[in-house]
Formats: sequence, C-alpha cells, structure tokens
Amino acid sequence: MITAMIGRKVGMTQVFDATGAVHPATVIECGPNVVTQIKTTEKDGYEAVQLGFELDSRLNKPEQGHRKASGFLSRHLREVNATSLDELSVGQVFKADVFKDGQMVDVTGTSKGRGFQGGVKRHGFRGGPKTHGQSDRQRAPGSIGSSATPGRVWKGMKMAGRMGNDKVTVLNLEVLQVDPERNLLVIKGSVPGHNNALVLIRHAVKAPASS
Amino acid sequence: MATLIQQVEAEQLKAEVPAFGPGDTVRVHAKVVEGNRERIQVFEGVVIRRRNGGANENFTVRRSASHGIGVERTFLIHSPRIDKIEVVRNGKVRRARLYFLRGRTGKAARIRERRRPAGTVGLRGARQATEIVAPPVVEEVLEAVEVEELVEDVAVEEVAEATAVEEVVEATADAPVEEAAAADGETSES
Repeated sequence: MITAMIGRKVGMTQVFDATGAVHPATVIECGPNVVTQIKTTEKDGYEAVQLGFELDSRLNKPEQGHRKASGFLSRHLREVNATSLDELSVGQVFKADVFKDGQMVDVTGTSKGRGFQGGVKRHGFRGGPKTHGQSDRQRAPGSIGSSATPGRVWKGMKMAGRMGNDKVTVLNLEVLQVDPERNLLVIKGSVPGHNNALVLIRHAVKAPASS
Repeated sequence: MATLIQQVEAEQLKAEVPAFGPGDTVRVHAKVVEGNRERIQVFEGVVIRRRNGGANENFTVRRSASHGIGVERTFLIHSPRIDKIEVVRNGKVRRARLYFLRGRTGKAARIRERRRPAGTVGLRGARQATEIVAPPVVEEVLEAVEVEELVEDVAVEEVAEATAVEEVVEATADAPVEEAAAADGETSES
C-alpha cells in the first residue's frame, strides 16, 4: 500500500463535529493517483512508487512514452514510499480512501510567495526603538556583524530577501472527512500554499501515540 | 456549478431556517452543556446583524439585561447546537447592521414593528427544503386557488405552483397571532 498521495488544495472552510464544535478545515482534492512506475532495489537501488495525477494533453513524445504503461497521461509525477511493493502494479488507481477518518497526516506543499521582505517580517526581528530620537530605525535589522574580525559578514546572516515559495511540511493534521467518490479529503487546519496548489499528503510519520 | 467547497459545506447546512433579519426579535434555543448534562437555553433579543458565508452564516442577537446593560451573543445558524430559532416580532429598520443600538437603552432602543401583508414579510434570508417559485403575494395566491377550483384541467405545472405558494401562506398565517401576543405582553409590562 502506498503511504502518500498527490492532491490539490481546493480551499478552506469550517466544519461542525458531532458535539457542535467548529473546526477550521482545508479541502483537498486527493487523487485519483495512478501508479506510473515501481522502483525496485534490484533495478533502481531503492524502493519507491511513482504516482501520476491529473490529465495532461500537451505532453511530448518521451513524456507520453513514460506514462504509456500506466494507461493515463498524468501531468504531475511524484515518488512516494510504500509499505510493500508486492500488491502494486503499474496502472493501478488510488482514490482518497488511502486515508481514513480521524487519522493523522502530514501535508507538504510550496508556501505562498511573499516577494522581497525585510527582516522584521522574514525572520521576526524586533526592529529598532520607536522613540528616544530615533529616525529611520523602526524596521532596521541592526548590526550584521563585527568590525575588523572577521572583516566580513558571515554567510547565512539573516537579512532581507525573498520570502515564501519554499517547500513546507505541516505535521500531524487530523483527517476529518474522506470522500472517495469525489476524491476529497477534509483536513483540520491549514496547509501550505495557495488554493489550487499541488500538495503531497502522507501518513503521519510522527503521529502522537494516542491516535 | 457549485464549487467543491460549496459541496462540502452543503452537507452541513440545515434544510430549513426561519426567515429573519436585522431588527427582528428572535428567541434562540441553544443547547448548553453543563457538566455532563445538556439542556436548552433560550436567548431572546433583537437581531442586530446577519452575516452570510456558507457554513459560517451567523447572526448576532442583542438583549438588554438588567440595569441597561446589553448582552450580545453571536450564533452560527447551521450549528447543531442551535436547536430552534423562533421569530417573535418583525422590526422595521432601515439598515443592515444595527450597531447604533449599542449606545442606546430603554425607550431609545425600541424598534418599530413592521406591518405588511402576510406573505411579503418573512422570506428574507429563509432557507426552505422546497424551492420557492416566486415571491408570494397574498392576492395572487387567492386568485390562483380560485382558478384551480374553477378550471378542472389546469396544466400540471400551474397546480404545482399554486400548491407551493399555498403552503407558504399557511406557514406565515400563524405569524400575526404571535405578533399580537407579543404586543400584548409589552403593553402589560409598561
């Protein structure tokens, strides 16, 4: 069985639980995912399953050739782990019922791009004092290093720059609803990225013992 | 086509919600959990706002408690914790958000009652299990019923429409009685 699936973030809403409490929820269109390739230790040096998601009508010949065995022209390909490769075959289709109600999942996505941002927003710098005769210091980064030793700025110094658009994984989100017919997952909380962004959902690797 | 989000939300929405809007006095029956016991608590007051938003559709009720201190509670319309919403009185107001009531107490906080023929009121913001064909007006309904009685072979669609509107009238017919009762109660208090 595969341990992860490719999905698309649909958007956020809220759901009521049995007690009437309201939970923030993200709806994810999860699958159908097609097995496009099975990587084995003998052939590839490691074990993995390559999944395809969504139809693409504009693939070139080599790309089409790679997907031919699976019988579906997938747009997106991702490699995921599997508990066992035995029951898997190329062309097999997975629906959202890979996941179950109430289980914990991790969601990986690309965070929203924020553009060029200063140190206060990007790294949580405090900024300078607002009073006592300060001018132009409110969101300044402060000192970025010493003087003659080392005589330069250390590599990796936190400074202003491009923020967001990074690969982000959110751990241990609860699955509230699974709808295999429409291939929808309703997950408690928020997931990285904008609406319609591609996300990878996997069984939680650090699930709390209680679940 | 409904978006996927709307589809997910649609499963949680209540099929029927009484019609009410800002200015109306409502009695909200909310479930309250006390320890391990659940009971129903009634909160009555004036609706000062109603906000749409799918599963998040909500409204705020303002009740003036003792010593001119107001209490406001916001309810989610589709919450399973809301047992029932009763419309006690229809108020006549000219804006959607009645925040001006917050600065007022006693007589200044009164809202005039809206008196219009039954059938034209009440459909504001209502959710019904059946589709409403047209905004029903009483005169038209009566005509439709008469026509139905006189002419036997009316088209099937027309019959359906007439009966649908008839149901709405029956539903709203109770309203004036309640309003009168509410008005009596107020006069006796003052």
